Amino acid sequence: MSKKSKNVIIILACMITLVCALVAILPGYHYSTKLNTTVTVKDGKVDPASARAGLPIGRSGKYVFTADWWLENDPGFVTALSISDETGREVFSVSGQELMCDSVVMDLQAGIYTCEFEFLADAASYAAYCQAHFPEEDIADFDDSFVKDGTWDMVYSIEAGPAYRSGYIIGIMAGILFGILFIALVAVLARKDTTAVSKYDERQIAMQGKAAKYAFYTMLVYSMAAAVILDLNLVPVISPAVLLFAGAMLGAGVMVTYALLKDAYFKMNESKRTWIIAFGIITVFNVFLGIISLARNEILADGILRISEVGNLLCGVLMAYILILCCVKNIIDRREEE
Amino acid sequence: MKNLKLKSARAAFDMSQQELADKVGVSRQTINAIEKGDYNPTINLCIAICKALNKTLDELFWEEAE
Repeated sequence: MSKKSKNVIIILACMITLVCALVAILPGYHYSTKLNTTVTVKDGKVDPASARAGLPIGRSGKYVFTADWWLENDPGFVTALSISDETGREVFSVSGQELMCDSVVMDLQAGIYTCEFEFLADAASYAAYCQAHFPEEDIADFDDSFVKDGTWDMVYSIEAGPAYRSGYIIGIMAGILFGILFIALVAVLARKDTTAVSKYDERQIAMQGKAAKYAFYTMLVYSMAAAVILDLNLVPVISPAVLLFAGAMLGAGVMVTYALLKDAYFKMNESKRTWIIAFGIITVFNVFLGIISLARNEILADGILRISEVGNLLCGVLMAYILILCCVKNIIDRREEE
Repeated sequence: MKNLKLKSARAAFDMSQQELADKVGVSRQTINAIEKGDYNPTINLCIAICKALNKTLDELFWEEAE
């Protein structure tokens, strides 16, 4: 067996082990349900007074409930939500004009949970609900200033997701590790001659230095602009993480552009075609995940652009740009050689 | 400034840029950049090129007074 084949097998084994370990360690399960209902308020009476939706949880574990609803105009009533397990035991309840919230970490058994929504438009029903669900808490007086007659099409979303942020961090670290393994695999596959040394020559190293310098200045200017934007809250719709991530993408874009145009991006004795195919795979993967986020209406669902929603799209855009640049450079090189 | 001496010495050996590059352990684009005057090679690379083309440093890299 050749050294190249051995390296490929080792890297593939590492990737498979990593994926298996992740599946075993991380719960990573998200269960969700939606409720679409039309609620009418007339003379302080709500119709219907309540609605139900089932939330199936397939695997026992620690979860956090996230409740959310969206509507362009505030409804003229308060929504209260209580979630009960199959035995009828209440595990979570919340009420308020703003229903968007996360629960505490809960140990849940697999089964179908009932999400009961109650629509409250008067002080008496609100007090009764609070008495039944939060008997030991001091509840603020019912503010009826928002109560009004009308009909609203409500869309409620309840999600039970993994409890711990550490799961998210482990997921990201595993993603980075998987990316490194993928790049290592491509680097092995891209070597044209396994007996020859695959390295950068002195001009390529010098050009990479220049590329890094331009990337550094770009990121310096960008970081200062981002600091001002964040300090003055000029673009509240974009989260700080997205701004930082976009800066990293910009710096990488500048560095890759300069290095590619100066023939300092690919090592000697490396197949450009293999790298271009790999870039294509990464682009498709990231754009696909970005489109899934778009299709799920996750982007800007809560009015803020978050890294978990647009990170893949940003990566996809950068990779697509690099891919196009590689193709253009290939065409220029061929013409030069001719 | 273009290095025509290098280009002609390479041509005299009937060697392509890629062949010279392989012989001295750099990329074809680096040889191209040296011939076009876009890159000043280190002394190590100059010596390697001279050895590959059987020339001296003066013959390939010294600028003659006009």
